[in-house]
Amino acid sequence: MKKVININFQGRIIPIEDTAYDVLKQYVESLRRFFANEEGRDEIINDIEGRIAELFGETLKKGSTCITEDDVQRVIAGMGRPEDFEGEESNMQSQLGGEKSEENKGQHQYRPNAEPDASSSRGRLYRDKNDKILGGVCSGVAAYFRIDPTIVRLIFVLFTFSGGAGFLLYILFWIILPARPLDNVPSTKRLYRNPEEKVVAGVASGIATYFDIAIWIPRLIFAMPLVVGIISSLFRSAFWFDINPFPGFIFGSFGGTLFVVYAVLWAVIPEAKSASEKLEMRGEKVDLNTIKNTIQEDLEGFKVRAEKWGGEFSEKAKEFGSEFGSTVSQKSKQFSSEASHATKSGGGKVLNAIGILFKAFFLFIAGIIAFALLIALIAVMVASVGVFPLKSFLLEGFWQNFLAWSTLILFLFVPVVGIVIWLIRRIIGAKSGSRYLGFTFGGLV
Amino acid sequence: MDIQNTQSQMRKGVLEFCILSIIRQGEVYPSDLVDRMKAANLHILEGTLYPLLTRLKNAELLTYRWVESNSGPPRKYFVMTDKGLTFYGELERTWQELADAVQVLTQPAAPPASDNQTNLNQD
Repeated sequence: MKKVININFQGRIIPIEDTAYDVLKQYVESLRRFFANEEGRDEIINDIEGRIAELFGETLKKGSTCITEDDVQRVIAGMGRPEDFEGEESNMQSQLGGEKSEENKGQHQYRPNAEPDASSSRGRLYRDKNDKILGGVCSGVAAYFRIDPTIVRLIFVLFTFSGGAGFLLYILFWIILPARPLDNVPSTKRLYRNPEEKVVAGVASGIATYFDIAIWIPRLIFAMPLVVGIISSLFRSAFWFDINPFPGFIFGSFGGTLFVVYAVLWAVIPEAKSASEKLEMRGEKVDLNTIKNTIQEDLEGFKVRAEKWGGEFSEKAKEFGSEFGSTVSQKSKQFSSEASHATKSGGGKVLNAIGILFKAFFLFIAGIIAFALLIALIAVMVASVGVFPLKSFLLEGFWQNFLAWSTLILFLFVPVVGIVIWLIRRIIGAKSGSRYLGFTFGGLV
Repeated sequence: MDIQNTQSQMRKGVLEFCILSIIRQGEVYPSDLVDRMKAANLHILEGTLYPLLTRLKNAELLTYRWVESNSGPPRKYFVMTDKGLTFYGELERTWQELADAVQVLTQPAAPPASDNQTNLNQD
């Protein structure tokens, strides 16, 4: 028993089994990738789709009620799969004046129209017409140095925020460099946002996958400025109440920076949507078999994985929850033991993890400083203009002042505490598994 | 040395020539083209034919027109252009030279054979 869906396929209504449709979709997708750099790609795909639709039409005319998986497989076998094209394509290509180096032919990725100069050796610096957000400068530079375009984009964004140099440089490159469709498969791994394990947009888990580290490490990095900011603002307001009584100042600067950095990454890093992108994210070889495996893994392994993760989460949460109630020193011990545990399980990549931590910090520090200053400035202006002149008119005497400020602080801190709790819980991955945690935080609030 | 690779190289070399020679005889629908080549025992994957046709079309050697079909949407039939005709002429000459050369070199003792018939099937 199978579900049948109706699709509009090149102007024909085709009733097709659900599973057969998936196979067909995958096949067309693989063709699209194969001809990605071909000039008349859409036309080729349309022609092939049209022919497939016609073959389906014939099958239906013979009396079949719908297209089955077997029908699709038969049609695909007649058309040929991209991996069968590989040899033939490269030869036709060379006949029609396209150059293709032997080196390229040995590669696993199908890039029939590859520019051998650009991909197999460092050619000239171009803007990349194929992979661009604005003018393709970043991906062109990335192709030149053979690194992930996302990293180049990040660097440009950071330079833009710390003084505007990046923006000017970008415009300059845009004008100077000639555009050209490049074949950029610089590295096997690309930086993607990971939609499978996300809290907000999957930025942290994507970074974790790219650098092959435990997921909570980048998450902690992202959350750390916020947590630190909140704690320090708590301390400040406690000890220098009169001197710097505006908790929003610190919170605003750190929190704002964090969110901006995250938002920038969100915008710059593409999400790994298709199966092949997910493979690229993990740095695996992209061909039809692995794609199929990934899809199957997605479907079948999902339950197992979810259970596994769920178990790990609740374990961690329990550990964390029971420790949280005790002293700070115990907490830090717990963290370090967890850290070493996680790095060990990650294949003993302690050094790597430390390197990543530093790298991430240094990368973001320029942007952080710039934005901290900006937001601090705004906060000070608002604070001085809005609060101080009015205050003396409205509030008189010590008690009135005291009450007003404590109201303000409570007003600001309750949501702050809420956010901290939420963040920590998301980092640790606790759902509602740990009752201790809930009680502890309940007590805090 | 990979025998299959060498074989497919040999085949590929004349593939375009064969395709053009079929189209030269009159406008043709791609899948009929495949059938005719199959009948002559020259196999090509349909999936590789479409990109090849598109490239030849973009090189202005071919053009196409839409022909109404009694079942479903109109179909694309390919026709040769004048430019394609001269291109084909060049290819034909080259093929002739090549075939003669191969003939002479592989069968030194044999008398000159009637080559036009056997050419296609040789591949």
